[in-house]
Amino acid sequence: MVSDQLYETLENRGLERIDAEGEEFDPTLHKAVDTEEGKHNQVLRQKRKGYMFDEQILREAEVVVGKKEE
Amino acid sequence: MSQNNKIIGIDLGTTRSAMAAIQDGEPKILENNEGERVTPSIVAFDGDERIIGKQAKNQMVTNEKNTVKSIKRHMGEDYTVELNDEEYTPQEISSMILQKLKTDAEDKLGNGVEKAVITVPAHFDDTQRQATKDAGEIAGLEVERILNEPTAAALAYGLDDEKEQTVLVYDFGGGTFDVTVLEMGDGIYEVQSTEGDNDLGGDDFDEEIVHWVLEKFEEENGIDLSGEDEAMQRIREKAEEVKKELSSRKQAKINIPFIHQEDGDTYNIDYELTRSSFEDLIGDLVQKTTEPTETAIEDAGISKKDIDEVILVGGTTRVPAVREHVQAITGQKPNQEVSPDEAVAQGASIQAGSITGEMDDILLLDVAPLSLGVEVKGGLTETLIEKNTTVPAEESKTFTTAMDNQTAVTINVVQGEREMASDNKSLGEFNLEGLPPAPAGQPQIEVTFEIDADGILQVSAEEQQSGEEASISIDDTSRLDEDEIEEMKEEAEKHEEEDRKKREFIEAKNRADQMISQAETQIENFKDQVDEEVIEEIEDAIEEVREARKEAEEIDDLEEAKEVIDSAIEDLESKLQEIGQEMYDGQQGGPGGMGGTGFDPSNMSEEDLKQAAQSMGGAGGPTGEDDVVDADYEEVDTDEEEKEE
Repeated sequence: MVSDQLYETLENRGLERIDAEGEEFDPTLHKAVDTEEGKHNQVLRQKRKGYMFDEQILREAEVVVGKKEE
Repeated sequence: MSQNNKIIGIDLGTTRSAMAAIQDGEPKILENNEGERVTPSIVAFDGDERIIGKQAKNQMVTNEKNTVKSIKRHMGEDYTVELNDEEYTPQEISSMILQKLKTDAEDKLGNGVEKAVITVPAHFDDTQRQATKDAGEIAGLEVERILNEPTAAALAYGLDDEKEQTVLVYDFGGGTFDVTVLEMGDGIYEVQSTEGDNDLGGDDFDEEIVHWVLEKFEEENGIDLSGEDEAMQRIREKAEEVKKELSSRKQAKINIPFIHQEDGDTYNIDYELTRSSFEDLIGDLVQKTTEPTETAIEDAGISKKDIDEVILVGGTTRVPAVREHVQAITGQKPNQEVSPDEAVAQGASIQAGSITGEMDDILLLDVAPLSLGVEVKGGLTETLIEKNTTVPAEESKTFTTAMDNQTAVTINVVQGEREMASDNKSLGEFNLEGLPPAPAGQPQIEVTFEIDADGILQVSAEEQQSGEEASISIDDTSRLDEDEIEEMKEEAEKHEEEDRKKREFIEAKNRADQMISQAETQIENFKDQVDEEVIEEIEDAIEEVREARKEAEEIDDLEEAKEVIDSAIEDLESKLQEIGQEMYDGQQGGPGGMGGTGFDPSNMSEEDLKQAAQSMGGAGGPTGEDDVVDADYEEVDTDEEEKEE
């Protein structure tokens, strides 16, 4: 697919995708858009991928973060 | 200049902050460690870890309780915010933002950064400026200068400061709106007036778009999204994007897939917002800037046509409708050469560069909006720094005691234009104690008011003979805000006539007390050298002054009351002159000796002055008592200080 080829080219040039699924929430790489009951401070779902270029964040991955109910 | 002496310029904003430094002779914005030119003014705690800026913004929804934003709104207030079960002052929170900026600047410059110029809104009072300075110090930054934001912006625009001109700075940021009129010329920048709205900003524009989307969505689908946090978050974000897009394009797409799911159906948002519909949405908000702008122009005592230049500051001024509005209300095409959200930080770095010598010298001056003075005998205000004095400023006046053997004086520092100190705002007071016992009027207490370039007021008092000192820095009590200033100016105008009469009456009473005490001293000192008859006459006259003083209190018309006292005083004065005459006749063998030419206290040494103060009643001579008292007030700046113990 064209989009895969495009990604490949960009990745060769230094583009990195940020995949947050299953990671611990990290505000440097992720942006929390909502919280849900779940494992505390864990990324429950990724709503939108993030991208980095040359160690620089272009866009954080948008994620839903787990939170203990109080 | 070594790199280590670098001073950075910091725009510590309500929603966003930015920093800049002079590099290769030019102001350059310093990117933070995230590679961005602005840093959100947000602080959060995650356990013991502090998170500042973009990251704090990213985690906000997961950690609202321990996240704080817009702390600048509370600067200088007696306010704390609880984070992680600990209380923090606005200065402390701000210091965390500043510390991040400092560290990031160090990384960027590859050198330690110890000093900064930090900007504040022109309307910030003394307490707020001091708090900002404190925040810098807590962050480990030596704050070289607190600079007004509009002044910084004018510097960034590099307006030709050789030529005298009037500049209107229209600063529309994310959360606040400020408009300032500056007078520049000969390298001097003076704030003439400043107005604004602390609850009006570009964020409100975003909200309008959000509402528009919500209404449209509900209309079409019958679903209210306003309670759904995630949906709201996404709409808000999109709204901001669309707002920015509409600055350069005529229409923008609002496309948010899968905004809502219900009963197996998925809903998407796919709307188009045109610039003109957007302008309808924000019309009222933009209109809200009209009144402050007009007021600022009026307060500066100018009219629109006197404005030479209008400059734009703050990201919200990128909106075309805002620019058009500025042009409509100022009658000027605004200058938009400098990136509006970076102008303030750039200007701060130019000021910093002028301190280190990397840039040409710039002298920045602001004005004190109201007079500053102290309370003196009878509750009157004695002004040291007149309103509209350009700061930094320093003024001293010498005061004295009102009673014999007075050991302490209270210095009550007031701000305002009213004659009675109690009608003005008291900024704070302090006691100067340990005065050596002396007759009333002898001690010389020098009171000094000093406003530094940051607008911070320091008041000190020193008794000249003993060297006893006391001082106060006005930081606990806030000075007046703009509304209060306006109110007080109006009050002062309204009561001008009445205040003057009150002042004159109180001064007459003070003169009466002074005369009585002097006359009694004279009798004591010279009773062996003059006729008993004369002494008796004087004693009667003293009694009459006392009576007149009492009587005057019963008279409603203050002018009339003053006359009653004055005529009694005059009588006593002439009697006292007789003593003087007799004495000099006797001692110096002829008239015209000392009294002949009179004396000018302003030319006297301090020692002479003290003697003069002591024997004034007797030696007044032909100069006339009024002149002497006058000289006392105006030229030598001697006055009474009320004992309040």
